[in-house]
Amino acid sequence: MINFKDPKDQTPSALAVLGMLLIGASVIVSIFFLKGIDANAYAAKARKDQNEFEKRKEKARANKVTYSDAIERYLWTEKEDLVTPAALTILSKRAAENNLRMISYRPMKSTEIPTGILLPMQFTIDGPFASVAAMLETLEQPGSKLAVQQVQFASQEGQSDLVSANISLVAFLAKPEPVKVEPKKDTTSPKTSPSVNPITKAGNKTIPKTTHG
Amino acid sequence: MSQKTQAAQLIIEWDREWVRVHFVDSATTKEGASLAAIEGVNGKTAILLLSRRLILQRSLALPDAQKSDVLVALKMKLVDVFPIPASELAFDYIPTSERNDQGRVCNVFAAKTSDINEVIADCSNLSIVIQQIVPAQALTIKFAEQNAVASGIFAERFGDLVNLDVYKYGDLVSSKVADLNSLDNEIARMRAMAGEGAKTYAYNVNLDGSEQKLAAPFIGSFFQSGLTLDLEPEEYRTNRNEKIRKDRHQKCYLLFIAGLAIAAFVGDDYMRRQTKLNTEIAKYEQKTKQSKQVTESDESAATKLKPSAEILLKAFEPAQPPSDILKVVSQLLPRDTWLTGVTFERGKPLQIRGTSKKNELVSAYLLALGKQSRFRDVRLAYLNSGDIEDIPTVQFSITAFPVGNLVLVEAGKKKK
Repeated sequence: MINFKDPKDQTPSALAVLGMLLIGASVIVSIFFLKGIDANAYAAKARKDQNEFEKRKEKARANKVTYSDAIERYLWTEKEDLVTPAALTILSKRAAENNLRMISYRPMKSTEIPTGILLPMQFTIDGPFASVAAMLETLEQPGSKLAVQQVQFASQEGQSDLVSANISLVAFLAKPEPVKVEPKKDTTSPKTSPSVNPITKAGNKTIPKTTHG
Repeated sequence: MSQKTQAAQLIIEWDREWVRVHFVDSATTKEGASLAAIEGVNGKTAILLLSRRLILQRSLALPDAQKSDVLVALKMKLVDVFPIPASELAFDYIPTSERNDQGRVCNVFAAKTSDINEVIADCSNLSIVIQQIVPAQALTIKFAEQNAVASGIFAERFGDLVNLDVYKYGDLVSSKVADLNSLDNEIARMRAMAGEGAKTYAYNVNLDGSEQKLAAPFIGSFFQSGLTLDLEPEEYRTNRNEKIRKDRHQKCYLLFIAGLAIAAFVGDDYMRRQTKLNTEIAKYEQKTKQSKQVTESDESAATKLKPSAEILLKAFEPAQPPSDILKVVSQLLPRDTWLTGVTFERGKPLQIRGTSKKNELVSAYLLALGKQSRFRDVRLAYLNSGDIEDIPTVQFSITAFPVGNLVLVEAGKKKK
C-alpha cells in the first residue's frame, strides 16, 4: 500500500504514513496521558487534602489550647525576685491551713533550661502525717504553680503520728527576653527597648538578676 | 509475476466452444461450454490460458538481450512471420536452450488483440480479474522440458475437442485443436511429423493403445511451469494497474482520514479533560492554599508552645501525684508496723523505712506493695532485728519504683 518509489504513489503513501502516525500518537496519548488528566481524581485528592488540613488544623488548635492552658496554669510570668516571696506566701498559707508548723524555707539557686528558668526551693514542716499529705495534695493543685520535686518524711522521736517533712519544690519561670542595648550615639543616657516574651506577652525592661543562691 | 500468479484463484483455459477452469484452492477442475456456465468463478482473479486455435506460434532466433529490447526487435520481425499486422497482435516469447548464428531460438506466440479483448470482456462480465494471459500450449513446452521429452505427441481431451501438440527434437513443431471425428487422421499426421520412436501422451483420450495415459490435464501444472510470458494487452494491463493503484490510494486516504478522525477525537477529549481539570484546579487550589496556610500557622503556634508546655505538663501532671503515693504507702501498712521515714524523689525509686514487731508483717507489707500496679521493682533493701525496751522489733527498708515517676526536668545549666 505504501510506495515512495513511484511519484504517483508518494502523496497517498505520505498521507497513509501520516494517518498511521496520527493513530499511533492517539493511542499513546489515550493510554499514557489521558488517564493523568482526571478532574474527578484531582477534585477527590483536593478534598482529601483539605480534610487532612482540617484534621491537622483541629489537632494543632487543640494542642495549642492544651499548651496555652498548661503555660497559663503552671508558668510564673513574674520576675524571679517576685516569685520567691510569692512562693513563701503560698507555702505559709497552705501550712497554716493544714495546721502544720513551718520550720524552714530556703530558695535555691535558679537554673536555666532551654524553655525558661527553674527556681528550686526547700521547706521543712512538722505535723501529723495526714496533714502533710493533705498539704502536698493542695500543692499539687494548679493554683500553687509549684511542682513537687522531692519529699522526705522522718517520724519524730516518741511521737507516733508526727513527722518532720522536708519538701523540695520547683517553680518554672518564663524566660526573660534578652534586653537589646542600643549603641551609644551621644552622651545621653542609654535606652533599653522593651521586648515581648512570646509566652508571657509581658515586656521586660530590666535584666533579671539571680537573687538567691 | 510470481506474486501475481500466487494470488490467482483460477486458471482458465478458454476457447469459444469450450472452457476449462481449475480452482487453485480446491485443486478441482470444472468444464463447460462457456465461462458463464461454470459455477464459482465470479469475482475471482485468474490466469488465462488461450486456446491453441487463437494462438499463432513460430520458432524464431532472437538476440540475447533484455526482454524489453527483444520485444522491440520481435515486433519488427512479426510482419515477416505472421500474416496479421503487428499492431493487431499481442505477442511474447519463451526462450529455449538452443542457439544458432542469428541468436537464441525462441518460441514466439501471438494472438489477435480482438480475440483477447473478447476473452477479457467475457471475464469482465463475471467480474473476473485477469492477471496473466498465456498460450495453452506453453504448458506442454514446459512439461516436455521438465520430463525430457524430445519428440512426442501430447493429446488432451478438451470437451468435444482434443488439444494436440507435436514436438520433434525438442521443438514445438505443431499445435492445434482437432475434433473427435478427425482425431485419428490428425494423430497419424502428427506421428509422421514427430518421427519414429516418438511417444504419445494422452489425457482422457483413447487412441490405439500405445499412448501413455496422463492422470490430469495440463492446466493444473501451471504453477509448476513457472511461465512468465504474458499476452495481456498493454491497455488492459495499464487499466488493471491503475485500478489497483486507485484502490490502494483509496485505502491510503481512508487511513489518513481515520487517523485524522481518531486524532481529532482524542485531541478533543484531551482538551475537554484539560479544561475540566483547569476548572477544578482553579476551584480547589486557592482553598487548599488557604487551608494549608491556616493549618501551618496553627501548627507553628502549637510547635512554639510545645517545648515549654510539655515540660510543665510532665512536672505538674505526673502519672501519680506524690500525695497519692504517700497515702498508698501509709494505707498499706499492716498492724504493729510503723513508718520511720519515706523519701520520694522525681525520677528515682521510692524509699520506705519502718519498724515492725514481726518479720511476717514486713513480708505482708512487701507483698501488699508488690500487688499494687502503682509500683514496680518492689524490693526489700534490709531487715534488722533488735529490741526496743525489751520488745523484739525489726527495722526494714523497702525500695519501689512508682510507675510513671519521671524526672522533673533534665539537668540544665546553673544560672550565672
